[in-house]
Amino acid sequence: MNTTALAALFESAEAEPVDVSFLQSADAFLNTAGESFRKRLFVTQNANGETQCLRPEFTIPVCQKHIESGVEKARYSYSGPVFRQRYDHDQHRPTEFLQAGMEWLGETESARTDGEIIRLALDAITLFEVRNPVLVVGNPAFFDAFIRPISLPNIWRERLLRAFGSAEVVNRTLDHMARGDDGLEDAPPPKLAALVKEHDLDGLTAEVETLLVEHGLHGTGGRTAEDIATRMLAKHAGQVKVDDKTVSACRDFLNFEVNGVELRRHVNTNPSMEGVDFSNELTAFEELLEPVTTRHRIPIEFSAQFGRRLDYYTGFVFEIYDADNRNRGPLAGGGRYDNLCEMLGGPPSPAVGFSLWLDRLTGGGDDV
Amino acid sequence: MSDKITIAIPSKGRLKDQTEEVFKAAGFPILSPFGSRNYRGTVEGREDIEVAFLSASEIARETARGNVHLGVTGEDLVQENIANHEALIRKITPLGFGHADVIVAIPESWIDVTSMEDLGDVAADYRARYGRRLRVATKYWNLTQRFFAKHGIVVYRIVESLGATEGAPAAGLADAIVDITSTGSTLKANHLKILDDGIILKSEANLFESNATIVTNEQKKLIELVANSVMKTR
Repeated sequence: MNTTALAALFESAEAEPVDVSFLQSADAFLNTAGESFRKRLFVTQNANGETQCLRPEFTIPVCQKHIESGVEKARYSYSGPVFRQRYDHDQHRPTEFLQAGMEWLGETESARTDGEIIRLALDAITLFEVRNPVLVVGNPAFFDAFIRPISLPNIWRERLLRAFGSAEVVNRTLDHMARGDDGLEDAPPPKLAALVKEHDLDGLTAEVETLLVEHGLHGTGGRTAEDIATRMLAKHAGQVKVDDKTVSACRDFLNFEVNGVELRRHVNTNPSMEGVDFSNELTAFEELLEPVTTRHRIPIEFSAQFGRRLDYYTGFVFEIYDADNRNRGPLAGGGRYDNLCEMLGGPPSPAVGFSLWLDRLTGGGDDV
Repeated sequence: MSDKITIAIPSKGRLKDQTEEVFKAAGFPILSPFGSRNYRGTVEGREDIEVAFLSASEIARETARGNVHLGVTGEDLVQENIANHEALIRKITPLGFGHADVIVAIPESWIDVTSMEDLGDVAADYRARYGRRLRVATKYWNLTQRFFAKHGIVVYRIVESLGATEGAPAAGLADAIVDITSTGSTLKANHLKILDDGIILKSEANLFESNATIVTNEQKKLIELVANSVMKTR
């Protein structure tokens, strides 16, 4: 494997190699990547009964190290085995495999930096024998810009933005929007119906407060009466059917997949995007592509629905595939995750990075 | 290789009594010759059948591992504890008792939340509002994860609860629960309500056959005989 060349590449990008323990506290992964990540973890306990796990990836522990160091800005590189549980559908994939990559923390956020990260990932790919690499890029900012001018109750807007990144959840949300409900009986309790109808926030808050006190939930640090009442009113105001035109425009937009180099032309000539102001997003996207295209001649796909359903990802995401073997999964992936450091208890910090799947790059048989 | 087969049945309580009734009706009356504290039993007139009295979750595990040939246990325990149960265990027949639903329940005072989609809304900004993820108390880690993932809920935390799960919200240990309920009265007493689409699994006791054991022709015939006889009582 071409590890020396890879190390030299990381060094040329001024990234400092960092070591991460094999054994990690599971909490950091579960609090950030979510409970659904637990089934991927090899979990054990220390003598105090605290849950530990074998590192399933590097980004989160690297960010934790960065926070501990107290340094504001740094570039890190890493390389080594990671461990993930496999199940029926992906049992052919290895539980232990090699990853390497870089994380840039504290660098001022810019499309140029995003582009540099993609460029470096492609530089790394060229160290291995990949005949037809293809780059896929997405950015939720385009979807935000697309639905911003649409008149939508907030509850639907938030659900759509949150669903972004999962075609299944997006489609279900759009189905519900078209129907005007979530398909379930949803009348307010009879006693509260009048308050809801009159949009009486104070009255409703008082009623909920009484319930919280009676049920022993007051002061447990959870949802407050005002939050519950506010959402109740927003929800009932939002239970209107969204017109079919809007719903199908959303579907069309999300299926939008074009050559990224000609994104501006495609956007400007697409009838379903008429009147939407994508100027900031397009300018940023072109800036991002610049460092990439000056260095690499490869197909670049822009996918409107490509994103990650985790709240620490905040901007562009990308993956690099082998066009001859896409089923195998990405050879590299990365993006911007400006919310992660703060979620891990550190100061807010812009963050970009990528990981390489070394086994796939070296033709190691993870799915032969 | 011995031509005997082993059947695992619940070691105590109503589940044990009801299982014994079914086997009696099927023509295989179970005997525990040394009194109720013994963990091994026999079937009257059958030298070739052994009975193991185990806890319901041990039965799920032992059947999946192939340590017993047939087992009576709850669907919930099989789905929760056996990762690839479709491959390891075959369901022969539901037995009509041990009914319990695995459900998602939330405080009644959350008047704005009636569906999983609502719960997803609440979970999404829980951290921003209250400084931590929405917490779900349960002993059903796997069922909870699968069900929440199916409903597109990613950000929440499971709090392990090994007993009195329904008390977790009032104790300030969790915001919602995933638990079993048969009548719903415990939930009601704790001011909890089931989400309209919050039924994860309608469970009951089943007779299961292990797929994880190599059997002789004699054992195979015997397993089929017992399975068919139990099925006929239904």
